[in-house]
Order: sequence, then C-alpha cells, then structure tokens
Amino acid sequence: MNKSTKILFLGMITLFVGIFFQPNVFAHADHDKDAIIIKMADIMINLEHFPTEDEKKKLQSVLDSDSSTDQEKIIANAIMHIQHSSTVEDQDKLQLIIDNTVATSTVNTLAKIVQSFSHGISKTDKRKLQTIKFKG
Amino acid sequence: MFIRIISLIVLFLSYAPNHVFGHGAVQRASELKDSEIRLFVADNMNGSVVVVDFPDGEVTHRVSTSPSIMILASNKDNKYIYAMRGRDTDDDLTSILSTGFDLEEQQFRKPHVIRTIKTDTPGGPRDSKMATVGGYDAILTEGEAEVVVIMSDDIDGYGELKTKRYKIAAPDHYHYLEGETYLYIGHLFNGFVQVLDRSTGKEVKRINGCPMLHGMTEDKESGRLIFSCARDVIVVGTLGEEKAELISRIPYPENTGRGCAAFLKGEGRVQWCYTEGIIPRLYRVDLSQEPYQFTTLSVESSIQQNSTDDGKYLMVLSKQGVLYLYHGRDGNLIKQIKVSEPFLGDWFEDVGKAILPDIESHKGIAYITLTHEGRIAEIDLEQGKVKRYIDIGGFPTRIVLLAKETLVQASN
Repeated sequence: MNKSTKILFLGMITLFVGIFFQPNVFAHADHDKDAIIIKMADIMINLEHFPTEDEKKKLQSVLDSDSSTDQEKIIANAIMHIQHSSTVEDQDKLQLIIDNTVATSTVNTLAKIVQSFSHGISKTDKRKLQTIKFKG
Repeated sequence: MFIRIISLIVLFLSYAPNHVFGHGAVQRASELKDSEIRLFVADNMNGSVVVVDFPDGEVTHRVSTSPSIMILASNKDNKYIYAMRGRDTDDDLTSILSTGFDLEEQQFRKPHVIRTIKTDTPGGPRDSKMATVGGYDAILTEGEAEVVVIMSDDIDGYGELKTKRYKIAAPDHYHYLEGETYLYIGHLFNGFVQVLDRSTGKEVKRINGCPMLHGMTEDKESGRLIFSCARDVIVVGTLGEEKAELISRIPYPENTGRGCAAFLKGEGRVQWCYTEGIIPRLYRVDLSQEPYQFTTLSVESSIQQNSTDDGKYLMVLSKQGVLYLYHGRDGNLIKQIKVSEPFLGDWFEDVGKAILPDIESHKGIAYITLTHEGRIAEIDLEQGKVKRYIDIGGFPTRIVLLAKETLVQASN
C-alpha cells in the first residue's frame, strides 16, 4: 500500500467514525424501534390465562434470537411459562429487571406487567402495552 | 265478482298512501354549530382526524384519513386542513379536509375529506401552517425534490387540481419559507439553502455552509430568515439589498453537538429554540439586538414546547407531565401545572408517524394532547389549572387550532 492510498484509507476511516458518532446524523433516520419489546407487548395485550401455541412460537423466536438482550429473554421466558399468572421463579427474575432498570423504561414497564399478570390484562396495563406498541 | 273488485280497490287504497308519502317532505335539521374554537387532532392509533369543538369540549366528528399522520396543517385562509402521512408506509398520501367553517353563516359544519392526493414524502408546513408560493398552498415532495403548488383556490369538487411545479436541488428534508420574490429552501443533509426565483423557478443561488440544517424561523420586522445548522445558525436576508444574502452567523452558546430543531416566537422579537430530542435546554435570541447572540435557558427534560399565540408565555411540557410556564421575553419561570402522568419510556419521534404530544393555545387557554393517556387537557394559563380533560381515545398527537374570531376577521 503506497503512502497516498494509506492516507486516503485512514481519511475514509476517520470520516466514517466521525460521522457515525454525530448524533444529528441519526436525527432523521428511520429508527429501528424496539421490535422485540413491541412483539412481546403485542402478545401480552390479548393474553388470557396462558399463551397460545402461536404466541409460544413467537416467544421462542425471541429466545433463539442473537439480537435479543438477556432481559428480553427473561421476559419472553416468563410470558411463555404463564399459567394464569407468572411462576414464582420468573417473578424473582423479573424483579431483578425491575430493580436494575429505570422505572420509566419500556423494559421495566413490561417486566412489571408480566410479573403482576393475573388471568388477564387490566385496562391500565392494556393502555401501557398499547402505548409501547404505538411509540416503540 | 263485484265484491272481490271492491275489496281489491280498498286494499290498494289502504296500501298506496304509505308509498305515496314515503318520500314526502321532512323537517330539515341544521348541522351548524356555533363554536368558538375548533381543534383538529391527529389520532395516530388509526389515522383519523378528531374534531373537538369548544367551549363545549365535545368530540363532534372523526374524519377517517390515511394512517400514520406526520403533519397536520391548515392552509393560508383556514379553509382546508392537510393531513400528510409519515414514512412508515409505501403509499405516500396527503388528505385534504374541509374545516367545515361556513363563511355565510359564520358557524361550523361537519368537516370532511375533499381529496386525497399522492405526494412523494410530503412536507413543507411550519407552525401548523401550509407552505405557500405566491399565496397558493404548496407541498414540498422530499422524494421527488419538487415544490408542488396547488393553483386552485377551491380544492372542492371533481375538477382537475391545477398544479405548478418547481424543481428543488436534491431529494432531502426541507425547511422552507417564501420571501418577497424568492423561495428559500433549506436542505438538511446537503447543508445549504437553495434560493429559487418565484416567477421563473430558476435557481438564484445556494447559500452553503449549513450542515445538518434543521429548523428555521423568520423575523417579520427585518424580513430576515434564520436557519439552524449543526454548530450555529445562519441569518439570511430577504428584502432589498439583503435579499438572498448571508447576513451573519450566530454560534450556539456551547458546543453541544445539538443545534436548534425548531423555533418558538416569544414576546417582542425574542425567539426561543429547542434542540431535537429530550434535552433540558432551550436557546434564546433577541432579534432586536445586534450583534445577535444566544443565551441558554435550563428547563426540565421536556417532551414538547410551544409559545402562546401572543408570545407572552413559553410553555414547556416535561416528561413528568408538568407544564412549565416561562415568561416569553426573559424566560423567568412563572408557574408549573401538573397536567398528566409521566410519559414512560423513550419518546423518540422519527419520520414514520407523529407520536409526540402537541400544545396549542388561544387567549390564555392551552390545549395539550396527552398522547399516552388518549385525551386532551384544556388549561387555563392565567389561573394555572387544568379546566378539564376531553377523552379522545387512541393516540392524539398533532393539533391545528382554528378560532372563529380569526376566521370571521379573515373573511371580512
């Protein structure tokens, strides 16, 4: 690699890194909303007593996905095991998420709703889930 | 036989009147409504425009439009409302609604969709008002890079919609204002202001050096336009010798990497600008004092801001659901009003559809869409309290406010 090619290469890398870290570059990008959280919120909105086979498949895809975070996997697992309410073991794991995330975050909200699920979704929780789905 | 014939005649006579009078005259019922304020609210749960009339606070109509409304704006004479779709679709449409205001009766009727037109990534409105070219409504299509001017005064009816098109430099996200004889089109990603001659459509010049151009305003007194760039704002003249000239640059008070996203008109010639995203800071500039310079106002992390129609108050809605009222000239905190529960989670609005709450006001009364609660808060700013809530359902976002007195004044 000759000197001018090296300079060009380094210049390109610097430009790319510089642009990447400019917050304004993303200001009008089509942001990828939190698709996994939305998917789980969508399942919870209509959940009655326990998830259907189709819903379990969707939850399994969250568990199998490399792009799912550990917290999202814990929530997916907890929804999968719901039988009228979440299991005591899952409730403990969800509590850890609740304790370690910002109270106003969508992960925290979803964890709280799954943890307190009892046979169906309350009107208040349904609105919260619809809002997550609406805004991402 | 005779008895049978008579029976048939009697039967016929007793049956016939029902049909004869079936389409007779009925009492005509007036649909006129004598409202002081009419709010048009974009409900992005299903893409409808909800109409709320005041002082009743009654949801009077729901007009179905295309889903994912991004922009809601009234035209120059408030005859029409434009509902433009966001980009979470492959079918870019703009619905044009009648406002329902009956000029003759000076009261409101039922609004309805007049036309739905195809527009490639529509934009152009500012402060909920449509862009104009020579007094006609205009849509800036960000995909096709055109200014589409609707040359018909009356959009109602089945006739062809006459348009005139101006070619813009490049597809981009635009910030547009019309000057005395030129059109000024700020390009976000290309970072320049293109100046077009309104009469010929030809490019006059480009004012370069405004990377990430986002947000603009005008100072009516001087006719100058202000475009915000990544590290400063540029001031461009529109009148006399200043026309299409770069007058000055105003650096932001601190290099935050965030510029002004939009401007709010305060009292006098004070302008406030807020940065994109939920940032606890507003910038202030007084355009009556040269050299221009920004100062900073620290505010709670806010989700929406606006100023009152008279510029007296600067209204800042926090993520915690508190409306902070600041003085529109100096930015002193006057009062705070709890209006809703907190807005939980991230509220980042991209170009897919509108999701943020909106604030509009008229004569000391503010109206705020509480998107997360599916309702509107009506607030008495002087008394500092919520007068009432109006349930809309869905996810109310953008507001266009029409005041009857303004419509009446404009018609006289």
